Order: sequence, then structure tokens, then C-alpha cells
Amino acid sequence: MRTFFIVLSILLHYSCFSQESVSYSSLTVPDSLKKNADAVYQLDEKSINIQSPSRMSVRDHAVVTVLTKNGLSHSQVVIHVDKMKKLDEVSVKVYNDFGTEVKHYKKKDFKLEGALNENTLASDDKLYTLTFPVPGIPCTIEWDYTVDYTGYVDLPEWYFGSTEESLIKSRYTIRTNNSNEIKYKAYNININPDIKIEGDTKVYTWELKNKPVIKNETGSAGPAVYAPRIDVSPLYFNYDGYPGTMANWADFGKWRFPFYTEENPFTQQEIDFFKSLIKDAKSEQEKISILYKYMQKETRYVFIAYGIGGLKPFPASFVAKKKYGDCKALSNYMKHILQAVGIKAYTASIYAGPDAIPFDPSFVSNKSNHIIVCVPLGKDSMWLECTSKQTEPGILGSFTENRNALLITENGGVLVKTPASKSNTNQWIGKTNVEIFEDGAALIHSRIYVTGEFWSYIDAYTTSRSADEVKKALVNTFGYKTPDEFDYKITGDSANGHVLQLNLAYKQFYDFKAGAKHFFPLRQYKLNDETIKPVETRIFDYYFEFPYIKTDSTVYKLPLNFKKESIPSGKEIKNEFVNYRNKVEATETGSELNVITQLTLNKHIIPAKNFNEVADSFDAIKKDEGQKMILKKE
Amino acid sequence: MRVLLSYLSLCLFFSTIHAQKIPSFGKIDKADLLYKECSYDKTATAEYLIDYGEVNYFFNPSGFVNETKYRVRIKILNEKALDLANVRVPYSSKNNGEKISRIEGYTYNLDANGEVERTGMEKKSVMEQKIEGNYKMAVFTLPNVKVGSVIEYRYEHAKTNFIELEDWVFQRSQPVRYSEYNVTIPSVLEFTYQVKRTLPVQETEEGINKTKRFVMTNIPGLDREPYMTCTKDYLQRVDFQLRSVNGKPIMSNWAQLTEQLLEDEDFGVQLKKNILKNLPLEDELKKMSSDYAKIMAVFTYVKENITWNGNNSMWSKSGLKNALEKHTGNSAEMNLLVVNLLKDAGVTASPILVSTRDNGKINPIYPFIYLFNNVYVYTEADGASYILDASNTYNPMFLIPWDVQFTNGYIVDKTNARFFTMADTRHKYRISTSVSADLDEHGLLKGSVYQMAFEYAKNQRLHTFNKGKDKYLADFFSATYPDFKFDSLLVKNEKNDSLPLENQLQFHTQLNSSGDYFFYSPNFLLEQDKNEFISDQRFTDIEFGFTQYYNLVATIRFPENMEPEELPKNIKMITPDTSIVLQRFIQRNENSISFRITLDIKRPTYYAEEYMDFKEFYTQLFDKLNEQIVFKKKASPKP
Repeated sequence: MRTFFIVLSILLHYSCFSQESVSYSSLTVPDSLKKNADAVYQLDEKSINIQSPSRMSVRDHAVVTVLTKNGLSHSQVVIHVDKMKKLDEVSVKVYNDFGTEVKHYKKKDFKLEGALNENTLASDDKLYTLTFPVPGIPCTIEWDYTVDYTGYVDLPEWYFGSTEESLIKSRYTIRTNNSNEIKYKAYNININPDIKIEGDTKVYTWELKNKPVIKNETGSAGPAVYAPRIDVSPLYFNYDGYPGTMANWADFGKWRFPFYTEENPFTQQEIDFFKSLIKDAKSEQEKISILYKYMQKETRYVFIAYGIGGLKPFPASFVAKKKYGDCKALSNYMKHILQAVGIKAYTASIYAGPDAIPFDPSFVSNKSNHIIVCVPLGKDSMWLECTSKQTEPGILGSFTENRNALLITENGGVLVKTPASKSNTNQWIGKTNVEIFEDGAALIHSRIYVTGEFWSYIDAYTTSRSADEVKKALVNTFGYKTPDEFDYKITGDSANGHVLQLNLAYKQFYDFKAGAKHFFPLRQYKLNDETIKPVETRIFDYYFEFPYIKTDSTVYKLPLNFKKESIPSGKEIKNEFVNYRNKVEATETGSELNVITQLTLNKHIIPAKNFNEVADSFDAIKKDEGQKMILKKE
Repeated sequence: MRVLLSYLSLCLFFSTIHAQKIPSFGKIDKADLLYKECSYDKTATAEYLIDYGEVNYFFNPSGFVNETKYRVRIKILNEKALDLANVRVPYSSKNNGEKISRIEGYTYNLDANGEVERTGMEKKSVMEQKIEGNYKMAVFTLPNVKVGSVIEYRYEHAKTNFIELEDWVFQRSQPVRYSEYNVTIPSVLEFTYQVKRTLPVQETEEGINKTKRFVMTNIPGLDREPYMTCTKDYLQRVDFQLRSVNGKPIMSNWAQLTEQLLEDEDFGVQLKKNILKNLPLEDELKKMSSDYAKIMAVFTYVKENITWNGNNSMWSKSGLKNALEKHTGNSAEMNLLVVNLLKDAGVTASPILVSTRDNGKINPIYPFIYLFNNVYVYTEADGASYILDASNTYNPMFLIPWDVQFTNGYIVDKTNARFFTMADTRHKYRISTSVSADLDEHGLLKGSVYQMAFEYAKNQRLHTFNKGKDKYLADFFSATYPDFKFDSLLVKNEKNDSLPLENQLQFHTQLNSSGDYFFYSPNFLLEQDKNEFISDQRFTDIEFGFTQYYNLVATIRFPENMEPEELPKNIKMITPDTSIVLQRFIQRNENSISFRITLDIKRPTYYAEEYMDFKEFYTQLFDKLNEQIVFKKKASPKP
């Protein structure tokens, strides 16, 4: 009886869609599509209807069969709306695995809530959310809703599947007309749209069938390299009364320029003050540094998304008064401060973050999520990150380095490369004296000099942390042996590098002993903390967070009763990417041991073909660092 | 002892507190702008200088208004605390019942000449933010805030026809220099209150309105600690409960509450529904003679026929019959169904209200239902009692669910309602492992593992196992021992409640070495990878939530060209209260080394007061566990 019902209900639903057959059960999903999948899209479609440069409607429709607990993320439907995006209709249906509909939700079942997160103080954007129970796993969820836009800049991108979801059918449709042309480009997939022309109407359709889950590898550049996607942009748009074009980067940049232009944002008194700050500066670089540091000290980052907050910054005059703003507002403020003292500067839009999809010079798209400042200085430019209180003038850090930024200039947008990461901006130099006593106890005095990203790292674990928390970080994060007593001090500044001074006392410094032989570590922490491991195949390039230089020299003063039994013989690894050298030397009298180690990561982007070479290097380094110095007690 | 001590210190501190007088709004002492660190909490990123609340009730034609004035003054000591200048005040906008008004704010800085400079917040910069449904919040941020600034704001929160008094929490994650709560209650309302504290509090009653005042000073911030349960249980606070209105008691007693619960449509009424009669289960149960078998059958039936919808609740939402029909329900529906079916099968069973570990401890003095956050099943068979939670898929019948183990629950029963302590030290978190491995002449170690996870250990592992075998292998083996390669994992008994979870797998690794020496750590698969108790102080109790037992037996065979160095010693370590015992036996055989390590932790809880001894023991314990077996390669004979 039960089987009969299943067949019936599946048939029933097939018949619902005259043009296509969609299943509502996991039973019909082939094993190849179930493999590694948390869910399968029986159908995943987005249909855009462009009516004018400011009006369009976007329909999302999907039938997704949930296969695992992780796939239950689909039992929540969230729809983002704002002043220019209104939710029209919405329907969410839940089916059991026999394909029987067990629940139908409508708009009134949704909660309407403010779009808030940790980084947003306030926002007038809103979310329609619906969280619902499912009859068990597997089950199938179908949503269908349309959002009407009264303003847009760019069109949504389309992804075919994901690293967790396979698909049976995925379709992206754009309906437009001759006066609202679009441009498109496919990434990580070879696909052309089917184009139908009916009079003035043009319909573009991209469709893909039966795609298993997408493979990713740890440390890859993320969706930019693995995700098959279609990027589509309108040729013309009109957002909140600001008409623009995405024909090329220059024109798109030109559209944004007025948002960052302000007549007389400062009073004469304020301008005089800025000028007085730099009156003794000897170079342009110095002037910029002084004003940047002033901005860093006086302002703080606050994100408020009201009105068209996504595009227009708070005016520089506002920031001057209130001393807060988001990346746009602070960058705009910085640009105008520089302008006020006669230094030309531009804001630049950029996609920040570790897995950033880079701006494509050959295709204009509105993918920026961050604004920084660029000061052109002849051959070199000086880049300023205005939302951090720690970065140095001219140093961007791994958040925005190595990619294209769009300079917003009076002559339009210009794509410019941000600086490449350099290993010597990220230095870790440790110098340590260890005095070992006759009973195996030890006193350690360490000075660790850090710059760049290593300072951010140390800062995060030490500044304003209790001594207890610092101790935990030393042990759990930096890999120190748990000290019995310790104190620390931090001196220096970002410009000249910070120094972490550590004094540690151990009742027992050796790791363990076997009879009279005592096994001591090479140093109290490990220089290498990389997790990269050799693999059989590697498709994508591997990204370390940043290149770096680490060195450490540790001098051990031995008591008379400890004699050298065996010390590591030293090791050297050298290739295009990694340099490692470790040397252990004993003084003639045997009363001192010196361990000198150097580890350099020259480049942080490792081509796939070199992956194992680098992984093997770090494996060998790990083994070498794990060696012990064996001292015999007499 | 704790109580006595705090009373003593209370007397001592009384006079000093009394002498304090807080500066008025908008006025600041320059010293508060000059200082750079909080004297009683040196690493704090900010210090609350004033944290003030004042409650009054007013009557108007439409009823009465509960109005609370809040005032906060904060010194920013580090850039990490700048976000404290962003303020969000949530309120309910239902029927305009609540209002946030008279928001004012100032920022104080020292200007270039070292003079106090005060910047006011503009009224128009207060924003209204929707949260969801009838909830909104007033949002504002203060101007000119940097490290060294003092910020100050105040507002009034009015609630129409709202009787309850808000609790006051003296302690925050940042230190508080001065915290004051004033409560003026009209004579028609009577409240009881309870002060939870270890620091001295000043309590006074003043004026003709009998305003109650609570003052606490120099309260350090409270941080999270490993194996700490509910933060709420440790915060310094005062909790209020309404007792009567116009002499008519509001606060009832447990007996009355039991009666109400049993009459409630979403609770007791559901227990009376006739469900068993129509199920095939009825005949099955009739054939069973023991109550134990019946409980097992009902528990299994509900788990198999209803999928938990992810919601925890004390109340049935759509009824037990509906849950069974739709095959989905919340925790109350599942557990009340178990009780319903058991009762009809003639087995002693009642709902038991619980407050899970993360919800905080229950104080039986206050008969309030909302203090609980879930309902489980209390049942009896052959003189033994059982606590069941059908929404906890992996927890077998004989095991008290971990999230309520060692807490108080309330059994809702017509004739025998009572508090019940759910505690079982017999069932443990228990892991038993055996390792057999061969070392070759180049230091490559290959071996096999046979590991059994019992009771709470099994329960915990099944949660991961059911997310996928790869994740399980990663979480319990590969990630913990990155130098080892594991393969051929075989897991058994994941579906059989009465047997331990069996794990079989193979591993290989190149031993760490130095010259001719090779090292093997016996602390392998013992689940003691990292000492979590290295802090020099502890404010909260350590609550494991179960007793523990670990056992590891291993044999390592070594080749002819290797010779073990002197082995770690046989040891037995015991805490003075004998609640923790570590034992290690190591023995050298002709061409193998065998050892056995057992660790027995017989208490589920260690109190903050015992921490120093506990920590010292753990330090030594890990020193011992980290001792290694050393092999030395023999010099190869010269050709």
C-alpha cells in the first residue's frame, strides 16, 4: 500500500510541471550525485526580468532534497530586503521522502527582522526568515519567491552547485530588452547561453544538468578558482537617481566619483590644524604618515547601514565632528585631509579578504566589499588602510595585497594592482638565553622582535589579556612548554617593530629523561606552525596567509654536571619557496650550546605543481624541529 | 564556609562603601581621565565607573507604569573596548507598551592643554532598529571616543502594566567600580529577592517610600573558563520575585504549580490522551513481563517514530497525536508521549522538569516554572529509577542524559510531586584502548588499535560519528595525532545501546628521532592530549558532568638493532581525597615493551576552592604522561 502511494505522489508532482520533470524524493537521485553531497538540487533556478535601468524582478525557485544533517541549513529560508528591494510572493513547501507535501508556508509565516550582525551597529535593511521543522532526513524543500527591485547597480551572480551540494538541473534566465542590454562572462566552466529573441525581448538561459559536488582543496583561492559561475552585469543602471554604466571600469569608476567628492568639508581652523601637524615633515611620505596616524588615533570604525549606505559614505565633515565611520567614511575623510594640505589622494574600491574573487580587467562587476586610499607618488603609490588602528602607513597587509583595486578618480575608474606581499614586512626574530641548572630546572630570557602580520598575531593574544590568558596562548597557540613562572612585557611600536620580552622559569626544562640521559627541546617553542601536508594530487594553487622571515637563536648555558651526549647534526633545505637552516653548535669547553635556526617563506602562493615540494619541506622541517638535544647527567 | 566568609567581609567593608558618593551626570573628576589601568583588574580593556539603575512605579488612568532609569559611565582603557560606545537598548513595541526615552550621552576627553573637554551626543543620532516581531531597539553611538575617553549615557525605560522587577547583575565581563540598584515599590506589591554574591553588598532601606538600595563596588570581570557551566550561576546578582499584589499571593507553591501543570492543555492534558489503544505497540507491551522491557520498548518506539524537530521546550506545541501522525515533534511532545504510553502500559512514569546545565541551577525556594527549560521522563523499573530524553538520539535508556546529570529536576506527579537529584556516578565517561605495534630498524612504527568507548564516551562519539566517518576519523584520531597516519577504521555497535562503541584501525608513523635516538610517547589514544588546567586561578567550579575512567594497554615490539634506554618508572599517583588515581606499569620483555596506564577520575565536580591542588596534581599528571620511551640504534658493525 505504501509503495503505491509513493508512486502516485511522485507521478502527481511530475505532472505539476508541464515543461519539465522534477522529483521530490531522494529515491530517484543517482548515487553519483549523492556522493559527498549534503543536499541535491533537483532544480535550482533564478529568473531575472529586467524592465528598466532601475526596475527588475528576481525570482528564486529551488527544489532541494536534503540528504544529511549539514544539509538542514536549507530548513531556514532567509530573504534580504531593503528600501529598494521588496518581497513579492513567497511559498515554501516541505515534502517527506515519499514526495508527499507535509507543509506549505506563506509570507505570513515568515518573521521580519532587522538585518544585523556583529559588524553592523544599525541598519534599515530587513530579513524575512522562516525556520521550519522537517519530517526527517531525507526530505525535500521547495522555495519559490520573487523580489522586486526599484534600483540596482549590478545583477546577481549565478553559481552552479557548491562544494556541499550536487545538482540535477540548474538554470539561470535573464529576460531583458534592447534598451537594457547586459554583458556576461562564465568562469570555471565552458558554457554559452541559449538566446531567444522575441521582438524587442531577449531571453538568455544558461542551463546545466547532473553535476556532482564541486571539489575544493584546503588552502586554495576559494570560489574564484573552483566555482563554476556566470557573472552578469547591466550595461546601464540607475540607482536611487544616479544613472551609470558598467561598459568599462573607467565609466563605472566615474559613476562612483561624486560620492567621494565634497566641497569644503573642513573649517579653516581644521585645515590650519592639519597643516600644523606636518609643518616639520621633510617628505611627502612623512606628511602622509603623520596625517594617517592622526586619523588612526582619533577615529574608530562603526558601520551604520541606513539609506544607500552601501554606496555613499558619511561626509568627511561628519567624521571630523563625530570621529567615527565605516571604511568608506574613514577613507573619504582621509582623502579629504590629504587634499586639504595639498596632497592628491584617491579612494579605491577592492574585494578584501583571504578568499577574494579578484576584479577581472576584462569584465566589469560590482564586487567590491571594502574601500582603501591610494596616494599616487610618482613611481610608487602609498596605500592606506583606514579601518585598522595597527597597520603602518603604506602597508596594506594580506587582507588587500596582491590584487586589483579600482581607483576612483575624477577621470573615471582605473584598475591598479595593490602591492605584492613581501616576506620582509613580516618578521619574527627570536633571541633567547637559557640557563640550565644542575637539577634540570631552567631560567629563560627571550626577546622576540615582530613586524607586520606577526605583530597582529602577538597583539591578538597579549594586549589587554590577563597574565593567565597570555600563558594559555603561549602554551596552546605558540607551542611553549607550560612554564612554572613567567612574566612578559611588550615594547616598541608598529613603525619600528614590537618586542615581546619573556622571562620564563621551569622546574623541569627537559622534556623527559631515560636514566641519566636528559632530552631537551631545541627551543622552548617551534618556529614552524604550518599544517600543509603532502597529497597524492593537487589541482589548485596553495595560499599561505603571507610570506615571512623567521629566525631564532638560542644559547644554552649548561651546568657542570650535564655533558653533551648527542646533539642534532643540522639541516638545510633550500628551494624557490622555502629556506630553512638549522645549526646546533657546542662551544669548545662544552659549557654552551647554540641553536641557530632560520625559516623563510619567500612566496606565499604555491603553484599546484610545486605543492608537494613545499609540503615535503615543511614535513622535514617539522621532523628536524622535533629533534632533541641529549645531555647526560653525571 | 563561603557564606560565613562573605558575611565577615561584609561587615568590614560596610563603612567604606557608605562613604561613596557618585558624581552627577555630566560632571567628571579629571583623575578618571588620567588613570591608565583598573587597579583591581589590571588587564581590563575598560572599566564601568558607574552602573546605575532606579525603578519606580507610577499610576495613570490606563494602569500603572514601571519606569527604570539607567545610567552608565565607562572608561575606555584599550582600543579593543571602543565598541562599548555603541549602545543598543532593546524593547518591546507591542501596543506601544514600552518606551525608551530621554537618551542623553557625553564623551569626556582631555584636550591638548590637559583640560576636560566634553562632547554631547546629538539627539538626532539615536536610531530605531527593528529586531523582529514586536521587538525593536534604540541604537546610538557616542562621538569622539578614543582610548582614554570616558563615555557616559542615560535613558529611561518605561513599561506599561508591567509588574515584574528586572533582576540586577552587578558583574559584567569588564570590571565595575560602582554598581547601584534602587527599587521603590508601591505598598500593593510585595517582592521577595535573593542576592547571589561572594563579594560584599550594601543593602539599605531609605525614606518614606522605603526605597531599597543595593550597592556593590570593585567587581572584577568574569571570564569563561574550561569546564565551566552556566555563567549566570556565578555572576554577582540580585534576583526578584513578585510575591503578592494587594495582599493576594501571586507566587504560588510547588503543589499549586503541579496542579496547574497537570491541567494545562499543552502539558498534563496531553498525558491523558488515549494513544496506546490504537497502536500495534499495545499488543507487544502486553506480552512483556518486566517493566524494564516495557520502558525500553516505548522509548525505542518514540525515538523511531518521531524525528526531533530541533526544538527544546517544556510545552507540547501541536499535541502528541499530531506529533505521532506527522512523525515530527519537539522535545516535550516526544517525552510526554513516552510518559503517556508508559502510564497506559501500567509502568510508573512522570514528566520531570529539568534545567539543563547551560541553563543554570534551580533554587527550589522559588516556585517558578520558567526557571526550567525542558521536560524529560522519570520512570521506574524493579526499584531503579531512569531518566529518559527521547530527543537525545544517542543516549541509551540506562544513562542519565549528560546535560542534566548532577542537577535537580522536578517530578510532576499528582500524588508524589517532588524534587529529584539526577546523579549517577556508576556510569562513566570510559575509554579502553589497546595498541599493538612493531618498530622497524629505520624507526617506522606500524600497528593496530582496538578501542572501546563506553557510556558517556560512546554518546559523545556517536554525535560525531553520525556526521560521517571521515569527520569521526579526523576528530578522534588524525587531527589529535597529526604525525600518525590512520586507516582501515572499522566501527561497531553504533546501533546497539548495550555494547560499547568498538573502534578498530591501523596506523603508522615515523618516530621522532635525534641522531641514533628514537622516541615513542605512551600518551597515545588515552584522550589526555592537552592539560586544560594551566591557569593560575579559577573562579568557577570545574564541572565535568560525569566520572571518568581511561585505560590503555600497549605492546611495542622493537627490532634487533634497537635497544630501549632506561624506561619511565612504574608509578601510582593519588589525590589526597583519593578521587583521582593514575597508575602506570611498564615492563621490558625480550624484544618488546609492554605497558598499562589507567586514569580514574571519581568525582564529576571540583570546586573553585580546591583549584590550586587540582591544578598541581594535573601538572604532575601531565609531566608523567609525557614521559617517553627511548630507543637507541646500536652502532652497526664496521664491515
